[in-house]
Amino acid sequence: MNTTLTICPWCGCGCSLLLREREGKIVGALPSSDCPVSQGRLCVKGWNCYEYVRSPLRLVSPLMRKKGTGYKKRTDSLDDFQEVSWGKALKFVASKFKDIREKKGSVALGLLSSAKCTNEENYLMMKLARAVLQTNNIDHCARLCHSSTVVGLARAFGSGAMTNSIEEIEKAEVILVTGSNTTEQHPEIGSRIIRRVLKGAKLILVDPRKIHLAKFATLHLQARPGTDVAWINGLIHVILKEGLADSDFIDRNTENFSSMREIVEKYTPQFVEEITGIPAEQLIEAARIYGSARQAMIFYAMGITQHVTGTDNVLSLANLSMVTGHVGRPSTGVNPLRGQNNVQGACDMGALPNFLTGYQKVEDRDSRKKFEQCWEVKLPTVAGLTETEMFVEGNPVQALYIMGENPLLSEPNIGHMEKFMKFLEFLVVQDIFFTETARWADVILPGGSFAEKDGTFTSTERRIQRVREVVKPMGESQADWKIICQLAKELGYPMGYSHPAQIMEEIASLTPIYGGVSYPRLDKIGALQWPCPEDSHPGTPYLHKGGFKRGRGLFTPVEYEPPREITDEEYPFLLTTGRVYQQWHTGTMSRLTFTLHREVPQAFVEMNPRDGLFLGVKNRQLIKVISRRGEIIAKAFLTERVREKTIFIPFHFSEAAANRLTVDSLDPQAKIPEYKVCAVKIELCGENN
Amino acid sequence: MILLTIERERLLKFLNELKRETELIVPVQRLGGVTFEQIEDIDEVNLLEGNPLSSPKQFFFPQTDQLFQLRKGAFTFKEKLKRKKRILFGIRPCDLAALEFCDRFFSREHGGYEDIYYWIRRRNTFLVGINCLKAEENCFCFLCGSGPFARRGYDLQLTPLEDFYLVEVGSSPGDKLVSSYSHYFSAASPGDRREKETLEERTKKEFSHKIDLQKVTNKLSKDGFSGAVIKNEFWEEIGDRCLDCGGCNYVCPTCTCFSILDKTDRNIEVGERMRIWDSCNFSGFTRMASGANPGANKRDRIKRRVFCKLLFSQENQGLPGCVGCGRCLKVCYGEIDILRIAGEIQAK
Repeated sequence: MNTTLTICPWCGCGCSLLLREREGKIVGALPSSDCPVSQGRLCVKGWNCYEYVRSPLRLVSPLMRKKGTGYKKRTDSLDDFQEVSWGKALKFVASKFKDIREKKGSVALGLLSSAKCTNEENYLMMKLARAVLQTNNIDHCARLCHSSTVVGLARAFGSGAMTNSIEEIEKAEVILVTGSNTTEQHPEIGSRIIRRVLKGAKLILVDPRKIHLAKFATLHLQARPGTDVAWINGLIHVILKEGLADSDFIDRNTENFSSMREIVEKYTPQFVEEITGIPAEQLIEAARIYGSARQAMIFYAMGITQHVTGTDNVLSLANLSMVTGHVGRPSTGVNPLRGQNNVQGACDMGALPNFLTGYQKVEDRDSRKKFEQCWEVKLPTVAGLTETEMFVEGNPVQALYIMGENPLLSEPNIGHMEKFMKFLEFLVVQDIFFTETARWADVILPGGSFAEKDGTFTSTERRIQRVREVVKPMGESQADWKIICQLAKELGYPMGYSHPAQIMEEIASLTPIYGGVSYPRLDKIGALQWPCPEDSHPGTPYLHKGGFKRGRGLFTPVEYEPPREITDEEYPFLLTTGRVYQQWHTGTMSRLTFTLHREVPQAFVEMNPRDGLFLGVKNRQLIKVISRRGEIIAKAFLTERVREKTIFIPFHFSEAAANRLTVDSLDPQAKIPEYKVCAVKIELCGENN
Repeated sequence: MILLTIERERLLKFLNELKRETELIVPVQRLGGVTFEQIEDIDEVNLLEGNPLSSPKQFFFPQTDQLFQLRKGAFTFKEKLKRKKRILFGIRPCDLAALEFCDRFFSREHGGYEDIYYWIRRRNTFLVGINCLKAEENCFCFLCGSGPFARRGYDLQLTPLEDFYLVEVGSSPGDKLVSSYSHYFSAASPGDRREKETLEERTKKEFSHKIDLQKVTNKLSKDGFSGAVIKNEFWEEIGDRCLDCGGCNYVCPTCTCFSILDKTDRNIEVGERMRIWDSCNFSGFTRMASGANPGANKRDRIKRRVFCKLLFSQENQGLPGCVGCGRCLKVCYGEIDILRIAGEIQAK
């Protein structure tokens, strides 16, 4: 039996864990007691992170769609594919890419990288897109979760990442959590918040649902979904009115304060109550608690970002932190909780249409030049398409290469996605399972799971840590970085890396924030938090110390705007979507993990008992939920967790996919879809359903 | 009882020699923490860092265990039982007591059935224990009667003295082994025995807890699930702090609950039957097909776990279900502390 230290593959907390291998199989997981993040603890997903690695349902051979088997159609059977050699599959992919590029130009190619893959793999995917295929059409699922954070915080502060560190929760006086079901989605962070509250810190929770943290909250403001700008402006309004603002900080460190002040003037507690449903006195109390704290941290996630006003919401939180000077010091800050294990890293690596690594702009000539010299190739100069734009009719993308992502379940309005897939000329899916997306593929390339490769992940707190190979890739599958290297070679651009450590050397040489990162250092000290510009730099636990990255923090005046689709007589319920603790995203891995899947094996619709009574819906009864875009059937779960006229459905379950209902309206700046609000109606199912 | 001594240097040589004939599992410091590992290099032995977070339970009852493989057609079953000889070295008194508990659970006499997968490994494992001279942060073995010095359950038991170990022989395989390797050992003197007793008394004093677990057990037995003395709110508050991770069960050296699952390939041609550790803290642990669930809320699940550890185990296996290793305190997200719970119950 061998024990190997690696990083948990689920959320962005970045817990180290030990995997135990025997005879080529992983037989157990346990937390690392030396890890400063997990400190010997793991959540249920961490304890059960390895079962899918050797699942008999893994893809273990390259597959090509057989001729005459429903080209451009979804297929549910692997019989429609034939096993081929790696050589044949990659040659075919390369020839199709070349062909389409010749006929329709590089703009016709699109690549989706993966927040589940390592930094090194994301870097290579980005390099493949830009250096080899000559397109900036590269993006990944950060578009769907925190693109509004990257845009918003970069504009306000100069850096789009979590400003502070997980460890600093221990000294926070006040913690404001909004749009984050932290105990379920970031259990390590959620548990630290609980332990801190038990020791006397105050917790302000702003969330439409009575999530578990509500039990520990000093105040729970149960805002209507999609009204975030209103209550945040309201908090700022009260803070200014009651003299709780930090005017020294505002004068010294920020700009554009007065135009922001003008806007919040009308957001009186009463006005905010009308919009949000938060009682005026609760809003005032929350403002006093947050405003008078010396050290207050804000934590947020998808409840803030996944709106057409996602960027506005983030900018508003930045305003709130700056008005009180709760940023740039330990145990303060605006802290977006990144969902995937390596979504921070995938962004850092430039798997984004407008950024090279480390947020160096594609359209900046000097940045490009540095990469051109290193890669010995000219690079495309104009920013590419975002993931959400690649799925819009009339966009130029004809061929897609999707690595480790399942947009056919995770994108909003799946019905539309399915129609769109038929327009696509060529689809390559690189994954470890036969996902909903792989069902549309022309070629499927079997990638490696987290336990079958070396590399690094970067956690939500910018912590770069080593991922280590525990078992060999299953069957013919290969670590994703190897596949990309081979494909690049077929495309006439050899990538001669023999180990991910060499890729990291190249990343460090091109990326100032990763400049001091190397495998020998990581192996020696365990982790580094970026920015870490040089070998002797110890890393940075919190950002904006003594001044903002962009110079002065920028206040942005933001007006409240209602969600794109609001309830009406025909569609009287407001649907908000999200996740549950024991499942992971589109369920491709968690649903194959016995313990996790057993906890929540099927979709459900959280509904307030009074709505249940009104509609005649009993607990666990099947109901039909219908939006303007689609319908699904799932069991009702009557609970006080949701307000009246609001329902909640998790999006993990393909057979009752919440994203058949969601709306594909986008935030105009970040292009993030509004997963959190749409209008639906509910019908009872007949006896036979 | 046979009492011997072995010098520190010679102990490693002795282990090295044993390693040539059999698998040797010892606590080692690895990247990420101290764990029990099968070693190649004898210098890896590490007895200084406290007890590993993962208990020796995993070597007899692994977290994930393939029981057999099956193949469609003639439906052939292939059992995966191995009879490899092993030595588990450096096991602490709490974990020895836990193994005694597991022995009973997996045996016909107390558990109701003989678990061959457990016993094939157990019978082929030679246990070398080591007494503890220090109470670690979360340790309370003394209250459970399982430590800091072991009374039984070992083949050989070591006590660290000045620059050598006192060796107690606890079984006939133990006797046989020291006879075969007698050149490594010397006879102990009466002074060595007295030194051991002094050390034991001194270590016991490190445990300052004022809790009588027998009283807690009696109280639980009397109160039952009535809620007369220990009210629902008591369990409610603890349940709220539980984040359903299952960690307390996973690290517990006496938690023996498991689930059975079958895995097959896409065409259901080949498959395997697995058993995996289960946790009574999961909602799915007792949920029925209808959806009804006697353990639907955390309050009831936590209560059941505490009752299991402090009362039912005593009733069913005749041994305390908690050996005081303190691992569950270390892994808990919500600082749920079974010792504090016991103290609060005692005070009621």
